[in-house]
Amino acid sequence: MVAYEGQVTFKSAGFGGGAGVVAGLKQKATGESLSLMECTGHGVVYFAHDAAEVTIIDLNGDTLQVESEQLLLLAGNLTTNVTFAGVRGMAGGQGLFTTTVAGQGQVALLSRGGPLIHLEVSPQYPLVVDPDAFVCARGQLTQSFDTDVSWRTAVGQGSGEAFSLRWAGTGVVSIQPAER
Amino acid sequence: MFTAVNSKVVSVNLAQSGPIVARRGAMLFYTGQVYFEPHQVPGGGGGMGGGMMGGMAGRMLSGEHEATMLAQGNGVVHYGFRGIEATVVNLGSVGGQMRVEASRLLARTADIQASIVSVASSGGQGGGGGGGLFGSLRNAAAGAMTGQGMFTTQLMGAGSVVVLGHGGIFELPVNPGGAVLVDPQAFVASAGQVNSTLKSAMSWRNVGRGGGESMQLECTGQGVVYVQASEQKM
Repeated sequence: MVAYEGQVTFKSAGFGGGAGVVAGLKQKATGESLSLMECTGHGVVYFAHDAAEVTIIDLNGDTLQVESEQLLLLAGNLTTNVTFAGVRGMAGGQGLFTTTVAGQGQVALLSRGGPLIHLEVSPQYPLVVDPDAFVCARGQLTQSFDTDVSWRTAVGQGSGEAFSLRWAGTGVVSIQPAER
Repeated sequence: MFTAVNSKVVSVNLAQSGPIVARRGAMLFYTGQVYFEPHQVPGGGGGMGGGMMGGMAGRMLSGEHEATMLAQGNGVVHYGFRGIEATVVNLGSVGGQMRVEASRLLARTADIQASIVSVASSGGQGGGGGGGLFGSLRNAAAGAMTGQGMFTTQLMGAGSVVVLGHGGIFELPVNPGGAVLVDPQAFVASAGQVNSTLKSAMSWRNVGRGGGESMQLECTGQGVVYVQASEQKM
Protein backbone atom coordinates (compact mmCIF):
# COMPACT_ATOMS: atom_id res chain seq x y z
CA MET A 1 0.00 0.00 0.00
CA VAL A 2 1.38 3.39 -0.87
CA ALA A 3 -1.69 5.50 -0.18
CA TYR A 4 -5.41 5.33 0.50
CA GLU A 5 -8.48 7.50 0.83
CA GLY A 6 -11.47 6.77 2.99
CA GLN A 7 -11.90 4.28 5.81
CA VAL A 8 -9.67 1.29 5.26
CA THR A 9 -8.22 -1.10 7.79
CA PHE A 10 -5.29 -3.37 7.17
CA LYS A 11 -4.79 -6.58 8.98
CA SER A 12 -2.65 -9.60 8.46
CA ALA A 13 -4.49 -12.19 6.41
CA GLY A 14 -3.11 -14.64 8.92
CA PHE A 15 -1.47 -18.00 8.64
CA GLY A 16 -1.91 -19.30 5.12
CA GLY A 17 -2.81 -15.94 3.66
CA GLY A 18 -6.50 -16.34 4.39
CA ALA A 19 -6.71 -19.72 2.70
CA GLY A 20 -6.85 -21.71 5.91
CA VAL A 21 -4.54 -23.63 8.15
CA VAL A 22 -3.89 -26.45 5.70
CA ALA A 23 -2.77 -23.97 3.06
CA GLY A 24 -0.57 -22.30 5.64
CA LEU A 25 1.07 -25.57 6.55
CA LYS A 26 1.60 -26.33 2.87
CA GLN A 27 3.20 -22.96 2.35
CA LYS A 28 5.48 -23.47 5.31
CA ALA A 29 6.41 -26.94 4.15
CA THR A 30 7.05 -26.00 0.54
CA GLY A 31 8.65 -22.62 0.99
CA GLU A 32 6.14 -21.14 -1.42
CA SER A 33 5.20 -18.60 1.19
CA LEU A 34 2.63 -15.92 0.67
CA SER A 35 2.53 -13.18 3.26
CA LEU A 36 -0.65 -11.27 2.62
CA MET A 37 -2.59 -8.57 4.32
CA GLU A 38 -6.29 -8.00 4.07
CA CYS A 39 -7.75 -4.57 3.32
CA THR A 40 -11.32 -3.97 4.39
CA GLY A 41 -13.57 -0.93 4.62
CA HIS A 42 -14.56 1.53 1.99
CA GLY A 43 -12.29 3.82 0.10
CA VAL A 44 -9.67 3.80 -2.60
CA VAL A 45 -6.36 2.06 -1.96
CA TYR A 46 -3.27 2.51 -4.11
CA PHE A 47 -0.84 -0.37 -4.31
CA ALA A 48 2.69 -0.47 -5.64
CA HIS A 49 5.80 -2.42 -4.82
CA ASP A 50 9.38 -1.37 -5.26
CA ALA A 51 8.77 0.44 -8.55
CA ALA A 52 7.88 -2.78 -10.34
CA GLU A 53 5.49 -2.80 -13.27
CA VAL A 54 1.99 -4.01 -12.51
CA THR A 55 -0.26 -6.08 -14.77
CA ILE A 56 -3.89 -6.81 -13.95
CA ILE A 57 -5.29 -10.17 -14.96
CA ASP A 58 -8.98 -11.09 -14.96
CA LEU A 59 -9.77 -14.59 -13.83
CA ASN A 60 -13.04 -16.12 -14.99
CA GLY A 61 -13.23 -19.26 -13.00
CA ASP A 62 -9.92 -20.50 -14.32
CA THR A 63 -6.75 -21.24 -12.45
CA LEU A 64 -3.59 -19.18 -12.60
CA GLN A 65 -0.23 -20.62 -11.70
CA VAL A 66 1.95 -17.84 -10.41
CA GLU A 67 5.25 -17.23 -8.71
CA SER A 68 4.24 -16.19 -5.22
CA GLU A 69 6.79 -13.40 -5.05
CA GLN A 70 5.31 -11.83 -8.18
CA LEU A 71 1.83 -11.59 -6.69
CA LEU A 72 0.95 -8.03 -5.70
CA LEU A 73 -2.68 -8.45 -4.76
CA LEU A 74 -5.76 -10.48 -5.47
CA ALA A 75 -9.48 -9.97 -4.97
CA GLY A 76 -10.60 -11.34 -1.63
CA ASN A 77 -12.97 -13.89 -3.13
CA LEU A 78 -10.19 -15.68 -5.01
CA THR A 79 -8.65 -18.74 -3.44
CA THR A 80 -4.97 -19.50 -3.29
CA ASN A 81 -3.35 -22.87 -3.00
CA VAL A 82 0.04 -24.46 -3.32
CA THR A 83 0.40 -27.26 -5.83
CA PHE A 84 3.13 -29.56 -6.93
CA ALA A 85 4.60 -28.23 -10.14
CA GLY A 86 6.95 -31.00 -11.04
CA VAL A 87 10.66 -31.17 -10.93
CA ARG A 88 12.00 -27.76 -11.75
CA GLY A 89 13.50 -24.77 -10.13
CA MET A 90 16.57 -26.43 -8.70
CA ALA A 91 18.45 -23.85 -10.68
CA GLY A 92 15.94 -21.05 -10.44
CA GLY A 93 15.65 -21.41 -6.72
CA GLN A 94 11.91 -21.48 -6.98
CA GLY A 95 11.30 -24.88 -5.52
CA LEU A 96 9.13 -27.65 -6.77
CA PHE A 97 5.88 -26.02 -5.89
CA THR A 98 3.87 -23.22 -7.32
CA THR A 99 1.08 -21.03 -6.05
CA THR A 100 -2.26 -21.24 -7.79
CA VAL A 101 -4.99 -18.63 -7.72
CA ALA A 102 -8.50 -19.67 -8.72
CA GLY A 103 -11.95 -18.18 -8.89
CA GLN A 104 -13.57 -15.14 -10.40
CA GLY A 105 -11.92 -11.78 -9.95
CA GLN A 106 -8.84 -9.75 -10.58
CA VAL A 107 -5.22 -10.42 -9.78
CA ALA A 108 -2.40 -7.88 -9.97
CA LEU A 109 1.02 -9.23 -10.78
CA LEU A 110 4.42 -7.60 -10.51
CA SER A 111 6.98 -7.71 -13.23
CA ARG A 112 10.51 -6.41 -13.38
CA GLY A 113 11.92 -4.50 -16.28
CA GLY A 114 8.66 -3.80 -18.05
CA PRO A 115 5.09 -5.01 -18.45
CA LEU A 116 4.35 -8.72 -18.58
CA ILE A 117 4.72 -10.42 -21.93
CA HIS A 118 1.90 -12.85 -22.66
CA LEU A 119 2.91 -15.76 -24.85
CA GLU A 120 0.41 -18.08 -26.46
CA VAL A 121 0.98 -21.81 -26.19
CA SER A 122 -0.77 -24.23 -28.52
CA PRO A 123 -0.30 -27.97 -29.07
CA GLN A 124 1.75 -27.37 -32.24
CA TYR A 125 3.87 -24.72 -30.59
CA PRO A 126 5.12 -25.56 -27.16
CA LEU A 127 6.97 -22.79 -25.36
CA VAL A 128 10.27 -22.91 -23.52
CA VAL A 129 10.93 -20.13 -21.03
CA ASP A 130 13.68 -19.21 -18.62
CA PRO A 131 12.57 -20.20 -15.10
CA ASP A 132 13.90 -16.87 -13.81
CA ALA A 133 11.70 -14.89 -16.18
CA PHE A 134 8.56 -16.98 -15.72
CA VAL A 135 5.77 -15.19 -13.88
CA CYS A 136 2.48 -16.97 -14.47
CA ALA A 137 0.62 -19.45 -16.64
CA ARG A 138 -3.03 -20.20 -17.25
CA GLY A 139 -4.94 -22.71 -19.32
CA GLN A 140 -4.61 -26.41 -20.00
CA LEU A 141 -0.87 -26.60 -19.70
CA THR A 142 1.63 -29.15 -18.61
CA GLN A 143 5.08 -28.11 -17.68
CA SER A 144 8.29 -30.01 -17.83
CA PHE A 145 11.81 -29.20 -17.02
CA ASP A 146 14.32 -29.03 -19.84
CA THR A 147 17.97 -29.46 -19.08
CA ASP A 148 20.76 -28.74 -21.43
CA VAL A 149 23.62 -29.93 -19.36
CA SER A 150 26.50 -31.41 -21.23
CA TRP A 151 30.20 -31.83 -20.82
CA ARG A 152 30.50 -28.13 -21.75
CA THR A 153 28.63 -27.15 -18.61
CA ALA A 154 30.91 -29.32 -16.56
CA VAL A 155 34.00 -27.62 -17.83
CA GLY A 156 32.54 -24.16 -17.33
CA GLN A 157 31.69 -23.51 -20.94
CA GLY A 158 27.93 -23.66 -20.52
CA SER A 159 25.72 -21.19 -22.27
CA GLY A 160 24.15 -20.06 -19.02
CA GLU A 161 20.80 -21.40 -20.17
CA ALA A 162 21.15 -24.90 -18.84
CA PHE A 163 17.71 -25.13 -17.33
CA SER A 164 14.44 -24.06 -18.86
CA LEU A 165 10.74 -24.60 -18.45
CA ARG A 166 8.84 -26.23 -21.27
CA TRP A 167 5.11 -25.59 -21.54
CA ALA A 168 2.85 -27.76 -23.67
CA GLY A 169 -0.88 -27.74 -24.23
CA THR A 170 -3.17 -24.78 -24.75
CA GLY A 171 -2.94 -21.60 -22.77
CA VAL A 172 -1.02 -18.44 -22.06
CA VAL A 173 2.32 -18.14 -20.30
CA SER A 174 3.45 -14.74 -19.05
CA ILE A 175 7.03 -13.76 -18.58
CA GLN A 176 8.78 -10.63 -17.40
CA PRO A 177 11.58 -8.94 -19.35
CA ALA A 178 14.07 -9.52 -16.57
CA GLU A 179 15.57 -12.49 -14.82
CA ARG A 180 15.30 -12.89 -11.09
CA MET B 1 10.75 25.59 -17.94
CA PHE B 2 12.03 22.08 -17.34
CA THR B 3 11.42 19.69 -20.19
CA ALA B 4 11.16 15.97 -19.60
CA VAL B 5 13.56 14.22 -21.99
CA ASN B 6 12.29 10.84 -20.83
CA SER B 7 10.85 9.63 -17.54
CA LYS B 8 14.21 9.98 -15.83
CA VAL B 9 15.98 12.93 -17.43
CA VAL B 10 14.99 16.58 -17.59
CA SER B 11 16.55 19.38 -19.58
CA VAL B 12 16.39 23.08 -18.98
CA ASN B 13 17.31 26.06 -21.10
CA LEU B 14 19.09 28.48 -18.77
CA ALA B 15 18.42 31.44 -21.01
CA GLN B 16 14.71 31.00 -20.43
CA SER B 17 14.63 29.74 -16.88
CA GLY B 18 17.32 31.81 -15.23
CA PRO B 19 19.71 30.16 -12.76
CA ILE B 20 18.95 26.59 -11.67
CA VAL B 21 19.65 25.03 -8.29
CA ALA B 22 20.23 21.30 -8.59
CA ARG B 23 21.42 18.44 -6.51
CA ARG B 24 25.20 18.25 -6.68
CA GLY B 25 26.35 15.66 -9.16
CA ALA B 26 23.02 15.41 -10.92
CA MET B 27 24.15 17.20 -14.06
CA LEU B 28 24.48 14.78 -16.95
CA PHE B 29 25.68 17.05 -19.72
CA TYR B 30 25.25 20.56 -21.00
CA THR B 31 25.67 22.62 -24.12
CA GLY B 32 26.60 26.28 -24.28
CA GLN B 33 28.27 28.51 -21.71
CA VAL B 34 27.20 27.23 -18.31
CA TYR B 35 28.90 27.92 -14.99
CA PHE B 36 28.43 25.82 -11.90
CA GLU B 37 29.10 26.94 -8.37
CA PRO B 38 28.24 25.59 -4.92
CA HIS B 39 24.96 26.77 -3.52
CA GLN B 40 23.69 26.86 0.05
CA VAL B 41 20.12 26.59 1.20
CA PRO B 42 19.61 29.64 3.43
CA GLY B 43 19.37 28.53 7.03
CA GLY B 44 20.75 25.11 6.28
CA GLY B 45 24.23 23.78 5.76
CA GLY B 46 27.04 26.25 6.39
CA GLY B 47 25.27 28.79 8.54
CA MET B 48 23.57 26.06 10.53
CA GLY B 49 20.41 27.65 11.67
CA GLY B 50 21.60 31.16 12.16
CA GLY B 51 21.11 31.18 15.92
CA MET B 52 17.47 30.23 15.89
CA MET B 53 18.28 26.60 16.29
CA GLY B 54 21.61 25.55 17.63
CA GLY B 55 23.29 22.38 18.76
CA MET B 56 21.20 19.31 18.40
CA ALA B 57 18.50 20.85 16.28
CA GLY B 58 21.17 22.17 13.98
CA ARG B 59 22.65 18.73 13.50
CA MET B 60 19.25 17.23 12.82
CA LEU B 61 18.68 20.03 10.43
CA SER B 62 21.77 19.13 8.52
CA GLY B 63 20.10 15.84 7.69
CA GLU B 64 17.63 17.82 5.67
CA HIS B 65 20.36 19.39 3.62
CA GLU B 66 21.55 18.05 0.33
CA ALA B 67 24.59 19.59 -1.32
CA THR B 68 23.39 21.64 -4.23
CA MET B 69 24.96 23.52 -7.07
CA LEU B 70 23.87 26.59 -8.94
CA ALA B 71 23.97 26.55 -12.72
CA GLN B 72 23.85 29.81 -14.59
CA GLY B 73 24.80 31.13 -17.96
CA ASN B 74 23.53 30.43 -21.39
CA GLY B 75 22.84 26.93 -22.52
CA VAL B 76 20.89 23.73 -22.03
CA VAL B 77 21.61 21.52 -19.02
CA HIS B 78 20.41 17.94 -18.59
CA TYR B 79 19.79 16.51 -15.15
CA GLY B 80 19.22 12.97 -13.95
CA PHE B 81 19.92 11.05 -10.77
CA ARG B 82 20.61 7.31 -10.26
CA GLY B 83 18.03 6.32 -12.84
CA ILE B 84 15.19 7.45 -10.64
CA GLU B 85 12.07 8.79 -12.31
CA ALA B 86 11.87 12.57 -12.27
CA THR B 87 8.67 14.58 -12.36
CA VAL B 88 8.40 18.27 -13.21
CA VAL B 89 6.02 20.24 -11.02
CA ASN B 90 5.06 23.80 -11.83
CA LEU B 91 4.77 25.43 -8.43
CA GLY B 92 2.58 28.22 -9.72
CA SER B 93 -0.13 25.77 -10.71
CA VAL B 94 -0.21 24.03 -7.33
CA GLY B 95 -0.62 27.06 -5.13
CA GLY B 96 2.96 28.30 -5.06
CA GLN B 97 3.88 26.18 -2.09
CA MET B 98 5.37 22.74 -1.72
CA ARG B 99 6.94 20.64 0.99
CA VAL B 100 9.45 18.06 -0.09
CA GLU B 101 12.39 16.30 1.45
CA ALA B 102 15.70 17.71 0.27
CA SER B 103 16.85 14.27 -0.86
CA ARG B 104 13.89 14.09 -3.24
CA LEU B 105 14.66 17.38 -4.90
CA LEU B 106 16.52 17.04 -8.17
CA ALA B 107 16.41 20.63 -9.38
CA ARG B 108 14.47 23.86 -9.09
CA THR B 109 14.58 27.30 -10.55
CA ALA B 110 16.59 29.67 -8.36
CA ASP B 111 13.73 32.13 -7.99
CA ILE B 112 12.01 29.67 -5.68
CA GLN B 113 12.56 30.38 -2.03
CA ALA B 114 13.66 27.31 -0.13
CA SER B 115 13.60 27.10 3.63
CA ILE B 116 13.90 24.28 6.09
CA VAL B 117 10.92 23.94 8.37
CA SER B 118 10.03 21.60 11.16
CA VAL B 119 7.60 18.87 10.20
CA ALA B 120 5.75 19.60 13.43
CA SER B 121 4.88 23.06 12.23
CA SER B 122 3.42 21.64 9.07
CA GLY B 123 1.03 19.54 11.04
CA GLY B 124 -0.42 22.52 12.81
CA GLN B 125 -0.60 20.76 16.14
CA GLY B 126 2.23 18.29 15.98
CA GLY B 127 1.70 14.57 15.54
CA GLY B 128 -1.45 14.51 17.56
CA GLY B 129 0.60 15.28 20.60
CA GLY B 130 -0.84 18.73 21.00
CA GLY B 131 2.31 20.60 20.04
CA GLY B 132 4.79 21.86 22.58
CA LEU B 133 7.81 19.99 23.75
CA PHE B 134 5.95 16.73 24.15
CA GLY B 135 4.52 16.99 20.69
CA SER B 136 7.87 17.61 19.10
CA LEU B 137 9.45 14.73 21.01
CA ARG B 138 6.66 12.51 19.81
CA ASN B 139 7.27 13.67 16.30
CA ALA B 140 10.96 12.95 16.60
CA ALA B 141 10.26 9.42 17.80
CA ALA B 142 7.74 8.81 15.05
CA GLY B 143 10.10 10.30 12.51
CA ALA B 144 12.89 8.04 13.61
CA MET B 145 10.61 5.03 13.24
CA THR B 146 9.50 5.75 9.72
CA GLY B 147 12.55 7.49 8.37
CA GLN B 148 10.49 10.60 7.96
CA GLY B 149 12.76 13.37 9.16
CA MET B 150 11.87 16.03 11.66
CA PHE B 151 12.51 18.69 9.09
CA THR B 152 11.43 19.17 5.56
CA THR B 153 12.17 21.66 2.83
CA GLN B 154 9.53 24.23 2.05
CA LEU B 155 9.52 25.78 -1.39
CA MET B 156 7.67 28.99 -2.17
CA GLY B 157 7.37 30.82 -5.46
CA ALA B 158 6.13 30.50 -8.98
CA GLY B 159 8.95 28.55 -10.62
CA SER B 160 9.37 24.90 -11.49
CA VAL B 161 10.62 22.00 -9.41
CA VAL B 162 11.84 18.55 -10.40
CA VAL B 163 11.04 15.87 -7.85
CA LEU B 164 12.48 12.36 -7.71
CA GLY B 165 10.27 9.35 -7.12
CA HIS B 166 11.35 5.72 -7.36
CA GLY B 167 9.05 4.04 -9.86
CA GLY B 168 7.41 7.27 -10.89
CA ILE B 169 5.11 9.65 -9.08
CA PHE B 170 1.36 9.96 -9.14
CA GLU B 171 -0.72 12.80 -7.76
CA LEU B 172 -3.54 12.49 -5.29
CA PRO B 173 -5.78 15.50 -4.69
CA VAL B 174 -6.48 16.38 -1.08
CA ASN B 175 -9.76 18.10 -0.31
CA PRO B 176 -11.17 19.34 2.98
CA GLY B 177 -13.75 16.57 2.81
CA GLY B 178 -11.40 13.66 2.32
CA ALA B 179 -8.03 12.92 3.82
CA VAL B 180 -5.41 10.96 1.92
CA LEU B 181 -3.30 8.53 3.89
CA VAL B 182 0.13 7.74 2.54
CA ASP B 183 2.76 5.21 3.45
CA PRO B 184 5.57 7.38 4.90
CA GLN B 185 8.12 5.57 2.76
CA ALA B 186 6.13 6.26 -0.41
CA PHE B 187 5.41 9.88 0.42
CA VAL B 188 7.33 12.26 -1.83
CA ALA B 189 5.93 15.75 -1.47
CA SER B 190 2.84 17.79 -0.84
CA ALA B 191 1.76 21.01 -2.50
CA GLY B 192 -0.71 23.63 -1.48
CA GLN B 193 -2.18 23.90 2.00
CA VAL B 194 -1.64 20.33 3.08
CA ASN B 195 -1.00 19.32 6.66
CA SER B 196 0.58 15.97 7.21
CA THR B 197 0.48 14.23 10.53
CA LEU B 198 1.86 10.84 11.35
CA LYS B 199 -0.83 8.47 12.43
CA SER B 200 -0.42 5.08 13.97
CA ALA B 201 -2.97 2.42 13.17
CA MET B 202 -1.41 0.21 15.79
CA SER B 203 -3.03 -0.54 19.09
CA TRP B 204 -2.52 -3.14 21.78
CA ARG B 205 -5.28 -5.22 20.23
CA ASN B 206 -3.61 -5.90 16.93
CA VAL B 207 -0.04 -6.53 18.04
CA GLY B 208 1.23 -9.22 15.73
CA ARG B 209 -1.91 -9.11 13.65
CA GLY B 210 -1.28 -5.84 11.88
CA GLY B 211 -1.25 -5.64 8.14
CA GLY B 212 2.27 -4.28 8.00
CA GLU B 213 0.88 -0.81 7.47
CA SER B 214 1.06 0.45 11.01
CA MET B 215 2.21 3.99 10.27
CA GLN B 216 0.59 6.35 7.84
CA LEU B 217 0.92 10.00 7.01
CA GLU B 218 -2.50 11.59 7.15
CA CYS B 219 -2.68 14.46 4.68
CA THR B 220 -5.52 16.91 5.17
CA GLY B 221 -6.35 20.33 3.82
CA GLN B 222 -6.42 21.49 0.24
CA GLY B 223 -3.80 20.59 -2.28
CA VAL B 224 -2.00 17.72 -3.92
CA VAL B 225 0.06 14.88 -2.48
CA TYR B 226 2.76 13.21 -4.56
CA VAL B 227 3.25 9.50 -3.99
CA GLN B 228 5.85 7.22 -5.54
CA ALA B 229 5.30 3.63 -6.65
CA SER B 230 7.75 2.18 -4.19
CA GLU B 231 8.53 2.03 -0.50
CA GLN B 232 12.15 2.91 -1.09
CA LYS B 233 13.52 5.96 0.67
CA MET B 234 16.20 7.98 -0.96
